[in-house]
Amino acid sequence: MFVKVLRRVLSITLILSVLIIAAVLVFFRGTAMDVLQVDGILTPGIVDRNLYLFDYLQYFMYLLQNQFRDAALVVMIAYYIIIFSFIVTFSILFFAAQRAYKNHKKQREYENLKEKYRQKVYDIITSPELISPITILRDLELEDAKMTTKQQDVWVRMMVNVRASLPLEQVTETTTKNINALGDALNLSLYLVRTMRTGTLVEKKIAIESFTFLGIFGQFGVLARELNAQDFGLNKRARIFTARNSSNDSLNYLEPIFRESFNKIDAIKIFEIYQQRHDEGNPMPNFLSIISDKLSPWAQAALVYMHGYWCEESELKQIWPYLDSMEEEVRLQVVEALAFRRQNSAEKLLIDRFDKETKSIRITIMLAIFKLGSGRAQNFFLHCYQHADDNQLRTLALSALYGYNEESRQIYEKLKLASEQKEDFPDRGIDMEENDNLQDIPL
Amino acid sequence: MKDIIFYFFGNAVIFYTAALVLCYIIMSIASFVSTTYNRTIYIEKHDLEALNSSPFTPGVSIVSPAYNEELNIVDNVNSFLMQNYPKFEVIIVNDGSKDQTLEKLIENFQLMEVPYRYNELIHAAPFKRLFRSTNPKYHRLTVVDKVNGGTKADAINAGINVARYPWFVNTDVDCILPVNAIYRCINVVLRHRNVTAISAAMTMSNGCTVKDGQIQHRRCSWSPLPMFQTLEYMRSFFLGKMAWSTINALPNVSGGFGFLNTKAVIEAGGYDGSSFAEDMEMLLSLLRYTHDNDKPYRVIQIPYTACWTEGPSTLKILYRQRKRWASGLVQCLRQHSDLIGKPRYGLTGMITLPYMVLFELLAPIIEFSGFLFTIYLAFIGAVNWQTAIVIFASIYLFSFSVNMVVMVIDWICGSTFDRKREYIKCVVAAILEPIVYHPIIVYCSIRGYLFMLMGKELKWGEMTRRRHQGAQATDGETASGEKGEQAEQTQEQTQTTQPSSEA
Repeated sequence: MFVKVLRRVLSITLILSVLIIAAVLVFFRGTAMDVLQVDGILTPGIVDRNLYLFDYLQYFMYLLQNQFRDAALVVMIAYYIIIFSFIVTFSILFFAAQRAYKNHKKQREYENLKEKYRQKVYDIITSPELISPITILRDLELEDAKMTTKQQDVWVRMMVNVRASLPLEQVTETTTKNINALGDALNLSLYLVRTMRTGTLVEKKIAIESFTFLGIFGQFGVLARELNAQDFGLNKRARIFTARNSSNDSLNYLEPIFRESFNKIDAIKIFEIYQQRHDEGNPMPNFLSIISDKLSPWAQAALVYMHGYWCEESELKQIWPYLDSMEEEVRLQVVEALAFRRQNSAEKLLIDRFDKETKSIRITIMLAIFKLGSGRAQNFFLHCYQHADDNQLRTLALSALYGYNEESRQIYEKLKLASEQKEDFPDRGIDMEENDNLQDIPL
Repeated sequence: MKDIIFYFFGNAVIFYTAALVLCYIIMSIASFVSTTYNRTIYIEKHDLEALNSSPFTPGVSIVSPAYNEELNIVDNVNSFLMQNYPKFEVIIVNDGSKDQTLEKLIENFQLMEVPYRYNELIHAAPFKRLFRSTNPKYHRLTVVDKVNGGTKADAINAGINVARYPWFVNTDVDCILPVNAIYRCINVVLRHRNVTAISAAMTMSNGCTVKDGQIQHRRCSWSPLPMFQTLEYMRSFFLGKMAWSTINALPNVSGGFGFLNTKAVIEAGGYDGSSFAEDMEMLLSLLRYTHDNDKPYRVIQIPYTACWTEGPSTLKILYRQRKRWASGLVQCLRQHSDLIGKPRYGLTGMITLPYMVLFELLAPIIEFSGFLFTIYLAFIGAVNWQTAIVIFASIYLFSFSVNMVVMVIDWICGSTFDRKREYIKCVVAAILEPIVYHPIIVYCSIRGYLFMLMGKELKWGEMTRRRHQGAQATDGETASGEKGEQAEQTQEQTQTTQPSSEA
């Protein structure tokens, strides 16, 4: 990639340099000729010949040589810097002008379309009723229009912007269906096919990203080859889009993402897919089935958490063994999942693990026990307060005692009476209930 | 002796200058390529919707110290609270202000003191009280009142001690953050592994108009000092830092807007309260801590303006600020001198720090001594004026072309300004800078070094704040039509690309 880009930059610079040098030579031709003739480099009569670009370049080199013949090193360096600066400045201006022209043209096309159709598109997308593609075409007065890929690209951009202007609560099933109807009317599947076949990498990514955001349904065969694309970004987008639209085996499409270059945004995007599928009433896969030690700790942790998040109550015990994982991140997510599902039966297990764990997991366990709210853990919090070797843990334990139940509040009051720093007691300092994401407690 | 001086200026300085020029060329190519072609494609609204409902969304604390900021404090806290990121808190550290800063905060945000057990995870001046709002609208706001520690670093440490979330933004209370500032940073954290800190670009807000705690018109000031500083900041972020970031050798994350990992900062010992370049010092401490303990270290610069700050508009304040920066640089490099040239500390130790010593620390000294030497030569009539003009022209043209590259990079990355014609001001600044502004900066740096050498006590000083243009007139106003238009503009920017490496 870098080499490709560098080659392009260098080639533009080279072309411009040649042009500038040629221009300079034409301007200084007389001078060059004089110099060359004085130096005896040119024999009389040679100037009568047709001169080519290479000749001019050669003259220019001689001219430079002549300039530096008796010059100090400093002058030579200075001259080179001046020439270089000229070349860079002109290249940059050329590049900027070319890009500005392209952007301006693209923006003008978009503005024209926006002015004419934005309101209509907005009305179609936000309509409370389902609208058919035929009606849409009639409303937009595009029945006989044949669109090029470029025009469709502008339409997709406008649809994305209209969809982005809607608050999430306004995006209903009808909205998504209307977007799909609009996509059918404008034949956007053809746009995707064309882009995947002939588009650049960036265009392909934008197309898939836009389709995913718009929630356009459908199995697009053209995406199949991108599932194995060498570029991770494209590969991931194709997989996420296909998994979102597949009726079953969605995890099969996503498995390679967990295996290779998995990062946190992938976890967030995959969680979103399954949340949607869950809301639509689809069965959830067994996320634990693809866990292995070869996966990164974060991928393992995400899979464990997602399993704990959506599995049946009876299957929740399947994540318990992961409390023995070597990876701290995995253990942390198990505790979080148990706290989220409020599995009271796990309380003893968590309490038993407390003293063996790292500080971050201890904090998470304390918050988890507080959230489980079985009403039997006041002694655990007292133990934490009395035995913790860390101020943060002690503070957290006190907060837990304050808010856990009546009995723990009494313990808290006794501790407060016995303390010399009464005013420092943190009754509201840490709001245990507000800590919905346990991993967020700084260490 | 005379021969040595002549030899030094006749040869060594020439090679020094040529080396510096070469460094700039390499940096220009690196930042140009990385910002132009290495992009991550995303739709901001899509990501935000996913982040909004995900349990994996990391929280972010905005930590901002305030010392005698009564003039802008309310507007700026409102600006912090307007972030579109779903999970964040704002911690304002009142660092023993002598004016009405705390009272204004209490009054405007309906704050109430809450009992709080303060854990001093990193050292800071004594904590006094903690306030939270009784109004649910401001539930994200926490105000810490503490004894004045004399430096910004001390106040940030106190804020970090209170921070709940795994990432924090270190910013100044006079800064205005665009609504998506946190999102733009966390976006990089989520897409890359082992990120320790993110640096984002900063720009002068002097020429801008502010409405409802947000920049309404992104303009470059015609006022000379802010205009020069706009260009200078642009060059620093879009050229220098972008280039260092491509090889993971960024020397500092700006104190005006830095996005750092809370745990890593605490483990590295927090900000150094005695440092006058606390941002650079912090990053070098992080570098040392992570490499000594075999922990991952990655610092990324994003080519996006995440912070608008009011730059010094008078020579007096500029002088004080730059003197402090120069002293801070000396202090910092002296304190971490053992990192320089050590392969153990990666490319930062091997390339960036030696570069900083050679071309940032020594440059003002060489320039200043060169200037004095030229005057001496002129007196004795030993100046070859023709050569001098050629040398001057070469350096002048080179600096101009570098500034042009920077402006184009800024424009490609989405433009700092909302009108193209604002770049004309930058071009004017680029034409005048080497003659007008640069000598001032060299002088301030020399004074800063002298202060450090003579062991004089340096103070942070007070920044004279002005109310942002438009802020007074529009406080609390909401013109629905205009707001609608603004919303539309935001939407149009939704589908966007952000330069940064993807794989």
